[in-house]
Amino acid sequence: MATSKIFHIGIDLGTSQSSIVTSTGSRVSTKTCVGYPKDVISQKRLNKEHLLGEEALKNRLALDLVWPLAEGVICSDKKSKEATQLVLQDLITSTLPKLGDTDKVYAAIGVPALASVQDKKTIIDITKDFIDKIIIVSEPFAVAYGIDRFDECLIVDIGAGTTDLCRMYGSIPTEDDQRTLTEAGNFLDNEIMNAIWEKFPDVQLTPQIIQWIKEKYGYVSDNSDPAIVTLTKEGKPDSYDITGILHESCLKLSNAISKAVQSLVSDFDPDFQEILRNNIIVAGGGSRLMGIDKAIEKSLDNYGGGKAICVQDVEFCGANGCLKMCQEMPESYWDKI
Amino acid sequence: MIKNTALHLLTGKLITTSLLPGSLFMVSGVLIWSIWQKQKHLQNDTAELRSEVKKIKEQMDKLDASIETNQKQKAPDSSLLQEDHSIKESDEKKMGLFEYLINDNVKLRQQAYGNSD
Repeated sequence: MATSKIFHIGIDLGTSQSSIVTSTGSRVSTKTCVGYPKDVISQKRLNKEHLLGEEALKNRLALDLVWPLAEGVICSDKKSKEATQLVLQDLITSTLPKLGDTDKVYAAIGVPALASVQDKKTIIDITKDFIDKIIIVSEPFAVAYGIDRFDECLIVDIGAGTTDLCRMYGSIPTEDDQRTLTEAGNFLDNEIMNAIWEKFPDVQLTPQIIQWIKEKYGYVSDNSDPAIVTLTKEGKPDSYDITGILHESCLKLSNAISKAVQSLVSDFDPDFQEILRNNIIVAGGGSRLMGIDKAIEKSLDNYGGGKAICVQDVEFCGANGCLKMCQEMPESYWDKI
Repeated sequence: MIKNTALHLLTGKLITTSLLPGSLFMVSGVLIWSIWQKQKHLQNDTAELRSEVKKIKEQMDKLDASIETNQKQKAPDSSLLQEDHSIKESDEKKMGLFEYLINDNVKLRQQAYGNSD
């Protein structure tokens, strides 16, 4: 008789990117999107009901792409729920290929700090067929847990859909300790796209081009190398200097984040404000923005200065925290759910 | 036949008496040389090992020093007791967090489904 094993997994379900880390040591990160063939021809060519992640993006011309998450939560329509289910199922099967029928999967999944009960219920509903026990945790809390920071610190998790901020001080953060901003990666993409079009009308842009520009040149520091990109206008390629507009767009994001940081610092216990200011941890894809840590530090000059650092393992730090929580949680606690 | 045997014996004796001391000398020479070579190798190996041990000792000393410094930074007084205490405290903190987290998830299910699921 086969013995049943328990596999622990940590998942960071993100608007743009989702990551999984398992107790077997596997880890995978993929785009949170599903592509369905547009017509009979594309269905015949691709020979699949749907494509996921990067594969879907590569074949996007022949597919109807579904990005099921908006602002960090699953959209309420049926197609989005189904797409999220497919993404999660694929993440699990690709990292736990030897999962037996009697084996159990215990998961912790990170969601935006202020996700609603309905959002969390949707996750429980769509995962009940392939996850045996699931706990839902606030994403910044998962980041803090992953890097063992329970004492006074401020987590800033800049995702694609939302930026989540969370004050940690040795206990579970309450709603007052958390902020969720819509100024995040996708917001920045829109800002960059509109700013480029304003200065160079008719230049051809796609979300993929903007994302590439942001990841390669995005900066909020005072100095940077010139950002000269090759774009096409009516099919003809040309070089465009977007240094200034890129900086201004990025500042819109960093200013909104800095304001939220100031607010969380200023209404904290005055005896601990200094410690909080000096322990700011920036995570999420947005932490790759050049100079974001310095920009946050600079915004705290009038408050007595601060110290911000960016996490190392950007792609997996949320999922790592979720997995750690799963593994360290005593079995008796799991029995309660 | 007797003549032949006598000739063989005589030749054998002659060879043995004239060559034996020489070959014995040669064999013992080879033996001494090989023992000397082995000893030389052994000495080299011992010297190498000694230097490796010395390096490891130095590294261990450095490691000990850095651990001591870290412990001092973490806990200035009675470091061992303090560290044990801090581990316990962090575990208790974690248990508290888990309890809250699980209760929160139970509550979530009650809110979402109207029962404890």
